[in-house]
Parts: sequence; structure tokens; C-alpha cells
Amino acid sequence: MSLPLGDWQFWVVTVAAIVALALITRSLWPKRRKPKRTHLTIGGKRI
Amino acid sequence: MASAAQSPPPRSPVATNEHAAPPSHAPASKPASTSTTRFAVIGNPNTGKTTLVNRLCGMRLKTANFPGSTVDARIGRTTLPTSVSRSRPTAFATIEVIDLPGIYSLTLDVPESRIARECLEGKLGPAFTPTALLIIVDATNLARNLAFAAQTLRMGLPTVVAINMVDLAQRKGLTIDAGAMSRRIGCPVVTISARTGENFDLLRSTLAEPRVPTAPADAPFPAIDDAQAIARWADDVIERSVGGAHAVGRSTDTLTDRLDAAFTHPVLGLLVFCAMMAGLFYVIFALAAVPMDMIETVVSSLGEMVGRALPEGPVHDLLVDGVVGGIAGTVVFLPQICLLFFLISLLEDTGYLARAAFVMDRIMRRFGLPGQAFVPLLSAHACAIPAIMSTRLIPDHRDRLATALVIPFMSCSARLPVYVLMITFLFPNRPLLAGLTFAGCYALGAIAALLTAVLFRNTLLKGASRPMLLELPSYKWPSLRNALLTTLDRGATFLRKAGTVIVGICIVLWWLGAYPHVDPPAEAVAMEKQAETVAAAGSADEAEALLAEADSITRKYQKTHSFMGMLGRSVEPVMRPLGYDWQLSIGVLSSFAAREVFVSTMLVVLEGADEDAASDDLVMHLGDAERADGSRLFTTGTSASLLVFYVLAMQCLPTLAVTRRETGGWKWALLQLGWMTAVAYTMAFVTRTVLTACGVP
Repeated sequence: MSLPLGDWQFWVVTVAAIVALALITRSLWPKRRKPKRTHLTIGGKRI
Repeated sequence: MASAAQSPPPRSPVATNEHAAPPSHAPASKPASTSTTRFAVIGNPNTGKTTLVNRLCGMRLKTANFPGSTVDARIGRTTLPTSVSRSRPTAFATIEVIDLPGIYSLTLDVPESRIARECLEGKLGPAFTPTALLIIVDATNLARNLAFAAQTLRMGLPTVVAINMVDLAQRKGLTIDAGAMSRRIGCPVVTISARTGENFDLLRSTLAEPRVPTAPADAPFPAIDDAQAIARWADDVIERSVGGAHAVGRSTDTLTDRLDAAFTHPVLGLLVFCAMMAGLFYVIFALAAVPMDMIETVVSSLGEMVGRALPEGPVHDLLVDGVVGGIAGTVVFLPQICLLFFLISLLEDTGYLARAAFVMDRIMRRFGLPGQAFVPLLSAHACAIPAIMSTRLIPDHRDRLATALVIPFMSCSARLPVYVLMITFLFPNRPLLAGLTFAGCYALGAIAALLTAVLFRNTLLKGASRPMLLELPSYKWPSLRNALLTTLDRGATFLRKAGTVIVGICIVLWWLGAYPHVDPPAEAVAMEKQAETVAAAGSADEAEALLAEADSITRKYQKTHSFMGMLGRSVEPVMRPLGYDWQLSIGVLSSFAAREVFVSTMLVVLEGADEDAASDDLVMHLGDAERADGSRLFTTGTSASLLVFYVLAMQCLPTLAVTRRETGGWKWALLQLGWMTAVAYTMAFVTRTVLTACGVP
């Protein structure tokens, strides 16, 4: 049972797997958006 | 029919069409006397309030927010003739107009209703305190509009009722006797068309003399919170004023009425709904076969092309088996997903879905869910995430929580690939049975949601549900363009997800299945040696067969002892009662992130494990998969158990996160996850046990 540490292709696929894992984690967790500020207006002008 | 007799006599002499009023916002001559009345214009949504206010006030309108809210407040000013000498007005009154948002009831706990209520009660400040009411009623929908008017008539403010859209009502064969209606309502009634300006002069002169409504002795105004009394009162008013002495016709049993009677019938409506859904799913299964075959051919060619272009090695395997294989397992179901949304969009456009909502509301209320929950529950068939977010529209906290907790039971589009795969295993080449089972999956999810709602509403979330008011749109031909745009949007969303989350998970799973490397098993080594001997003896075909078998054994051994195999074997004891081996356990575990990953995961997990499988078809490729002992992986019992598990299980990390956010903490989100997983596990176990007991493998 071993990991082929000397094979450059192993490192390519390992980096791809780590990047994929990071992207999955990021995309699955919904982003918290800042609530928009609203203002009272009369005739389209802020008061 | 036209406007018939307007408002109760005796009235100002200007209350006839012969006395033309001057332009509203620019009096022709200086008024002899002025007074200011502030009218609140109130009515149901889509009754033409804004059109009426625009016509009444012209450019003299200001837009602001109602105090303490973001709801638009439109305030206008106009002048009205109060006395006329021959054809020339001699006195004018200035009135102000507050255009309130359209609402269905004053008692609803939604911002629009709250603002209207507070405005009428004078709680929004002097600038927003009306001294009179102008109630707008849709002539084509008198029952609902008069029911709302009944609530406002009790406010005790001088009132004028404008029956709008009389031109449309006339086209429908309706006639309205404004005089008779005025006598029942006890204040002036004018029939108008805000769109064409019909009877607007009459409305202007009537607005100069609003009157506090006084109900006739035999028909007092109903209590504001007594829905049945309000409905009876509205029916009585309609009975006495529509098709009365001045009527020339009356709305009779139209095709719409007859269709509505069938579609909204408690029993027939439900049967129609079930038949409609079963037909829909049959069409999906029957029509999607051809494009699915085409996609499989294209993806298979793409895999071969990539395979030929790259030299052998881990990068080659990752691209061919992990990326292309993973995408193939998802994209192949795109035709069915597109067809589903296309047909549902067509159905929605016809106006039928609103009738289905009416039928379902009757059922949902018995299970403790509010009527407003139907829209989130229906939209959950696309995706649970926006559906849970849309529960914000539900005013009651417990109603909202109950709805959000049961939404993930509804079959979302992410479940479709699993449904299609399992149903294909269960009923290959039998589209009718497959379609019925498909509809059954949706029904099972809905039943689980309703029963869960009952449980929660009787334990953790005790309390009564609120009634729902629903406007049934008229029937019309569906828009093909609209349906195509919806389909395009849904398809693109699915592909975007396939291009990110699914491919990502496939890459990670491929890596976990490829490492660490293990030495080939003794059995495979012996076969390779035997192949060398056989080849030396001159039997090349036999040697090749032995080498292929040795390679297959090595691949299975490698996969079993990989990180993925270790993980699967550690979870297998928990999943074994459901009939799942370590490979299926990996599929279930990985699809916790997103359900649609299951099929792709199985393609990656089973990659190389059944190289001897003859079929190039993706579905059949999975169907031929074997367990470690050589028995078939997807037996009838296992497929049925998996199908039930995926109908009922939560299996969606983003949904869990959204529930946490919408409910304000982990408590409800974890309860939802725990409950759904327990229900799914139990029902999957029961399904497999019953089938095994019946002799089904």
C-alpha cells in the first residue's frame, strides 16, 4: 500500500482533487449577502 | 347595460352625464368655494386603482414611501365640481387621493394590509389620514371584491364605491344595477371604466358627495372577521344588483365556470390533478428516450477522443473516468429535466396550476399547513432552496417553520437522475409503469411532507393555520416562448451545477478510488503467470482472456482497498440492512452534498469493476454492476429501497444551510436532517424487507 510520490502525474491529479474539494466546499455553502440599505423618498429624491 | 342608475337619489344635480365637468386638474374658472376631502383609494390587487388615480389626478401625483415602510405611496390632488349652473360648474372642491396598495383583506399580516389598515385608522400621520374612502371593485369579479369592500364599509368613513371594468363585464354578459347595489351597500355606487374613461364625469361629481354607509335593516354589514357572513353578504348584494330590474342579461354557466367546477371539485379536481401528473410523467419517459440516446453517443465519443489523445497514466484516467464519466452520468438526464419544466410551464400558462393550488389548499389546511405554503411547496419541485427562502411570505412564524421543515420532502429536480435510473432498473422498456412510478415518487414525497406537517403542528408547532385567498386566472393558450425560456433557464442551471459541484465531487472521488496503490492479489498474479505460459505454448486468444480477467480482478482489488473502499466499508454495516454494499454506501454518502451526484458517483465507483460488461449504454452499464461476491448490485429490492430512500432523504447540504439561515439557528436544521434521514432509512428498510419477504430478489 503506497502513494506514488515520485510520479509527477500523481501530483497533478492530487492538486486537481484539492482544488475540486475547495470549490465544492465553497459552492455548497450559501454566501451571506449584506442587506441592502433603503431610503425614504419623495418624488424619487431622498429625504 | 352601461352604467344604469347611479347612486341613490336624491343627489346633486350634477350627478348626470349631461353636466360635463371641467378638466380635473385645471379648473376652467376660479372656484366659487373650496373644501378638501382626503380619499383613500382602496381595493383588491389588479382592480385598476392606479389607472383610476392616474386618470383622476393626471400629473398632480407624488410618489413617496408610506411612513416606516418601503411600500410606495402615491398621493394626488384634483378638483371636482360641486355645483353647476346650466352646463357650467360654478363651485369646486379640492380633493386629495391616497393610492393604497392592492390587498385581499385588511386583517392579513402582510406589509400591504398592515399599511392599509394603519392608514384607515389614522396611524400614519396627518398627511396619510383619509377623511373619505373610494372603494374600487372589479366588475368581473364581484364576489371576491365585494367581500373585501364589506370590511372597509364598516370603517364609518364617507364612502363612494366605483365598480370598475364595466366594459369587460359587459362583454362577459354581466349587467350591474348600480342603483340597486347602492341601496344594499348604503352609499353611492358608480359603474366606470378607468381604462376608457366611461362615466368618469359621473364619478367626479359623486366624489363630491361621499356618504357614510348605512346598511339596510334587513342586511346589516357582516363582522370583519366572519368570512362566511361576509361571503353571504356579498352573494346577497350580487343577487339583488346583478341581473336585477335594470339588467339585460346575466353571467351564466360559461365554459370557464364549467371547467372550474371540474378542476376545483374536491374529488374530481383531485383525480384530474393525479391524472394530469401521471400523464405528464408518461410523456416525459416516452419522449426523452431518443435525446438521451443521442447524448450518450456524443459523450461516449468524447470520452474515446480524450482517451486517444492522452498517454496512459493518472491524468488520462482522471479525465476519462473521473471528469467525462462523471459529466456523462448527469448530462444524460438533461432531456427529462428539460421536458418536465417545459410541460409544467405550459400547464402553468394555461391557468390550470392555480386550480390545482386551490384543490391542494383544501387538503393542506387539514394537515396544518397554511394556504400560502402551496407556492413554496410547488416551487420546491424545482429546488428546495428558493422554496425555503420564499416561506418568508408566510406571515405566521409557526406556519413558516412548518412549511420550511417539510419542503425538502417535495421531489426536486436534483432527485430526477436517481428516480430515472432506479425506475429504469425496475421497469425497463415499460413507459406506462415507469411513468406511474415516477408520479408515485412525487406523491410519496408530498404525503411524507403532509404527515410531517401534521406531526410538527401537533407537537412542536401547535396552532391554527390561516385561510388563503387565491385569484384564479382566466384560461388561456400557453406561451411557447415563455415555456422555452423557462426550460432554457432550468436546463442551464442544472448544467452549471453539473459543471461545478458534480465534476468536483467526481474528481475527488476518482482520487480517493485511485489511491493508495496496492500490490495485485495473488489470484491475479497467478493468472498473469498462467497467461505467459499459455502464450508461450502458442494460444494467444486464451492468454489474452486470462490477462483481461487478471486485470479485472486487480482493478476490483485496487478499488476495494483504496481510500474510497476503506470509507465505504466503514459505512457499509449501517447501510447493509437496506441492501447496500460498500459501493452503494459510497454513492449514498457522497450524494449527501447533492443528490444528483449519486449516478455520477456510481459510474466513478464502478469504473473498471465490470470491464467485462458488454453494454456501452450508461444505464445498462450500471445495471450490469456486481457486488464483491459476484451477485447483481442493483436487484429489484435494492433499486426500490434506493428509490424510496432518495424520495425521502434530505441529501442536500445547501438546503440544510439555507434552513439554518432562514430559521435562525442549527436547531431546526438539524431536526429536519435527523427526521428526514430517519424516515428515509426506515421506509427504505421496510421496502426492502417487504419485497424480500414476498420473494422479490
